[in-house]
Amino acid sequence: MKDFEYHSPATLEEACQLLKKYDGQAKVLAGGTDLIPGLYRREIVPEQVINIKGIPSLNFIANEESKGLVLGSLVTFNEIISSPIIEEHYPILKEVAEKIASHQVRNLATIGGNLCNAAPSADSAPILIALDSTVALIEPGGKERTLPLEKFFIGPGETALAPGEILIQVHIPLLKPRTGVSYLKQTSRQALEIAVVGVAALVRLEKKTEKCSLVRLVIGACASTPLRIPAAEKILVGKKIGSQDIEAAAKAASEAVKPITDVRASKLYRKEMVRVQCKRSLEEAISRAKSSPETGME
Amino acid sequence: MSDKKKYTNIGRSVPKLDAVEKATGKAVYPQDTNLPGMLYGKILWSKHPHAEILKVDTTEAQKLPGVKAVITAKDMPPTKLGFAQDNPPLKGDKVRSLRDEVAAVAAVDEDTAEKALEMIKVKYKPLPPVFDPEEAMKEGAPQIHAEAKGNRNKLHYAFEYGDVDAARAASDVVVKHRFKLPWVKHCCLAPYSCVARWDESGKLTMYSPTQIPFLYQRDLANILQMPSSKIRVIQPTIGGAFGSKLDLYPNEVICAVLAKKAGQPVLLTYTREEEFKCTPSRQPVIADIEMGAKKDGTLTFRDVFFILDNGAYTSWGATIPYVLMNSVTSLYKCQNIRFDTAIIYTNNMYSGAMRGYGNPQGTFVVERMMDILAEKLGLDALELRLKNCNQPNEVTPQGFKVTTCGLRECLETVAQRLDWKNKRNKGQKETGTLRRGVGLASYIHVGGGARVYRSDGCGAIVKVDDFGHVTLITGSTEIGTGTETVLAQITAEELGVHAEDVTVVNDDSAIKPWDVGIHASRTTFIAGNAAREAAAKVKAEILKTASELLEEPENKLEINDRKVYPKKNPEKTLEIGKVIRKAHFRQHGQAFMAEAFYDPPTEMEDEDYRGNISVTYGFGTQGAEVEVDTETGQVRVLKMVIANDVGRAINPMLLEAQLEGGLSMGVGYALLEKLVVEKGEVLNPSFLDYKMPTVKDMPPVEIVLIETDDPGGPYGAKGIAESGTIPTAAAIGNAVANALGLHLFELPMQPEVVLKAVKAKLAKRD
Repeated sequence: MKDFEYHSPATLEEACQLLKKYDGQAKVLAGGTDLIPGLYRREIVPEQVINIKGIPSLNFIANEESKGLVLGSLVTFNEIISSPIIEEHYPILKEVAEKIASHQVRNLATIGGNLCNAAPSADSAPILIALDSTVALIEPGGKERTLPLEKFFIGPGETALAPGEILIQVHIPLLKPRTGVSYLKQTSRQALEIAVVGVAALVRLEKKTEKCSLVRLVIGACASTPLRIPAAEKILVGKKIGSQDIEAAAKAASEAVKPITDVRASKLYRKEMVRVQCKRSLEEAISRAKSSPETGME
Repeated sequence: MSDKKKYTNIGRSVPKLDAVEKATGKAVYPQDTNLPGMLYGKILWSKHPHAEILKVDTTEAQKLPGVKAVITAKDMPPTKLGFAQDNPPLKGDKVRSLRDEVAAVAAVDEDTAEKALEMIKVKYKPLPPVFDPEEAMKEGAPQIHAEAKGNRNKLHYAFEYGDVDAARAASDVVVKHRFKLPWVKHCCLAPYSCVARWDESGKLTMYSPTQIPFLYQRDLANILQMPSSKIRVIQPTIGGAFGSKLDLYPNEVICAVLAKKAGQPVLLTYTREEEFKCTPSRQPVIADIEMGAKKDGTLTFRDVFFILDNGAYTSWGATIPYVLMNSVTSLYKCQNIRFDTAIIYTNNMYSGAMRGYGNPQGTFVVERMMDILAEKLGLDALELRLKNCNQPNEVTPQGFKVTTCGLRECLETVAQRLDWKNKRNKGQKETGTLRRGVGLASYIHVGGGARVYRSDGCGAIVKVDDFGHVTLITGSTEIGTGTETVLAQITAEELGVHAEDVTVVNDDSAIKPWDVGIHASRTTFIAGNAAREAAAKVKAEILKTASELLEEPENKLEINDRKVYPKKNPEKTLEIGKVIRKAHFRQHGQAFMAEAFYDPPTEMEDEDYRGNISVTYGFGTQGAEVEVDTETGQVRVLKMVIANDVGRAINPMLLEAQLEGGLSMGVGYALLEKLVVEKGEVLNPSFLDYKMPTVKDMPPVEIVLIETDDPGGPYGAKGIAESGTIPTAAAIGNAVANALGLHLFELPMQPEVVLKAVKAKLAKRD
């Protein structure tokens, strides 16, 4: 590990100022599960490390009427798994969190860290995009802005964060009636894994006709950012979805992704798995939509 | 069952004596060593897979504050390491792989040492490299060692028995295939770490995780050109070995030379990345195998040629055909055998010993071919094996004298537990996405030591103190396998005390008697027999004194539960401690201590690889039920069954744990594990991308211990340490083939490989 200067700001403002001052030279330490191994391997060599764990306002889970679920950026994946609010209203988040890494890593890894690290394979990204989440960012001086998560990712390790900005919250709207969600993560092993392909699907069906009124299909690990597939969504919207439609949408997704070949899988295999996992994820989302409650906020 | 009851310690699942120390993090591993003035060592690795070294400039590095020693080849003695003496600890004129050691530094901390490495300037002249052994064999290929023509290692293993060509001509069915198996890694929990300390009189103490303390002592003395009497080897807690510490490697020599030059102790610990890239691995093999049979299933011949990627230097990896050939010559009865090898130098990292020592590769190839042969014959794969099953009292073509052999029972047990009759061949008739199949595979391996060195012996000293506490000083080593506990049980049983009363000392070459090393599944058998013999001698002395005190003849006395008593009058007891105190505290008193050296009655193989190298042989069968997703190629193991001829289970819990641990390595070999090596570089040197199975990947495992009560073993035990790994990949491979109705010839059976084969089969059908 190379030497660096270490900061432990007590307030958000202090943290933003430090980030702005050391723009390009600083790394934020939250859970540390990406940063610390990177430091040891000398793949990340920052001159400044800013630990934001001492900032009290970033670790909470709340269910608000207007914003839906609000997660502070320091919420860990094990906190998501053990939250009664999430279990009752957003069970898909628990399901996704359980697929991430291992128990020990989930004790440390944070939702904000997973998003800001901006790995194309980040497990929390596809499902949060499918759920139409937004992120709240704060800049020095305390001005906040919100951004659809879909617009947050720019490339591997690159986000829309401006110099001095910190991601403080994630907002996730409550699921509407007759809506089903699914996240399928294909891996070699059952745990401690990075997705070869990750597929999140959200499907909403109309009352009685069961026609599809909304689809969001988001693929992880198959492009430089998590990728939404409008071409596949278009095939499904407005239809009473049959197995041929699902096949067609899955095929469209497979054609839209731009995966790479690496030690985990080849490009061709990833494309083929996008087809298979999209099909399975859509099937699961549709089945869940059909069995989801009729009542609730429209 | 009846004879089990008479034992107090044998057959009892005593928890590992060192379990709490390890689980609570208190055990002291080499990397925990902290000696006064201790420095931290680091090695500079080559930047090229094949190059001449023109110049190494260490001037700047030496000036860095905190740096206490910088060494290059010029600081090393001219000696070389390894079985073929082809590996200089620091490379002076040429590098032959990316894991070649070019220079090393000792500094006050690791960061300073790393900084110093960056300041060493090395000028290379790159040479054309060669990474594929078949390419390396071709004329005109880059020459890696000047003296090795055609990059062929001078080690060559060839075996012939019977008349293969006549047998081939007389066969009703012949099958021939090529198999390719990958580099895999031991994945020890503790990365390699050692400490060197010189005292003022010129004596060197090494704190090392070595598996071979006495051969290590000799080899290190040879390379440092000093008497071995001046080297003391201390083995702190060892965090796993699996064969990876069976040789003396450059890092230990470098550590010693750094410490000498700095005049301070040096700790040299590998990072996990270095552990993956720089320690020897299980060698990849290419196997061309041809096998034949008569219509009725009688095996006629096996003709096998193995190409081994030796890597750039020769460690024990080059010698694995010695064991690999066992499965070819001796697993199931076959009277005509031809076995040949080409061991080829490449610019890859070099290969070494790993659990099973070639047998996992050999067994995979032979057992996959048994299924293919059965298919071609139209016979059931289980029936084919039973027809040619090894038996008690047979002599195999290599001259192995089989004594006890429970293989038939193992095969039948596994088949029954797998529901073979109903499940075999069922998957191929299914039409859905998920297909299920069952498969099985067996092994033969040494189970009573292995005479691969002039002595296969182990010494033991047993001491009983004045409170009846027992100390066993054994030549053997604890590498995490539970030998301490098993040896304590054997010693306690012989003496009539409890395993918990026994302290085992096994970590210091200055104290413990000689042992060849912990390898070849030999420790329970060899060190166990030695401990038992020493304990029996002490017991005789105790009985002599007790005889005086109890006024009964020695042969009428018994020791049990820490007490001596007349067999006829068990009420009249005397505590062992009291007997000892009586002998200590009298005129012309006596201490209770005895030694034994057990060297088994076996032969070294002759130059034609014939000889009975082990007192007894281990046999076993594993069965797998798998489910294959034909859309993704993913294989899930639903269930594994192990039936093992263990002779006698000294400690059933540890035995089962060792079988399960071995099996998990086998599951990895079958489905997940592979070092991705491109142009000599390991592309996945981390647990993130080198896929060892996790606990969640392990299927439920049913274990059946078959006790054949071996006459040569301590209380009937055979060695089993490596066996859990040996047939696993073959069993899973056979199950996958059974599920899909197609054959794969490569490991690991990763989803992408499986899917490709499934698609090719579908394309053929359309």
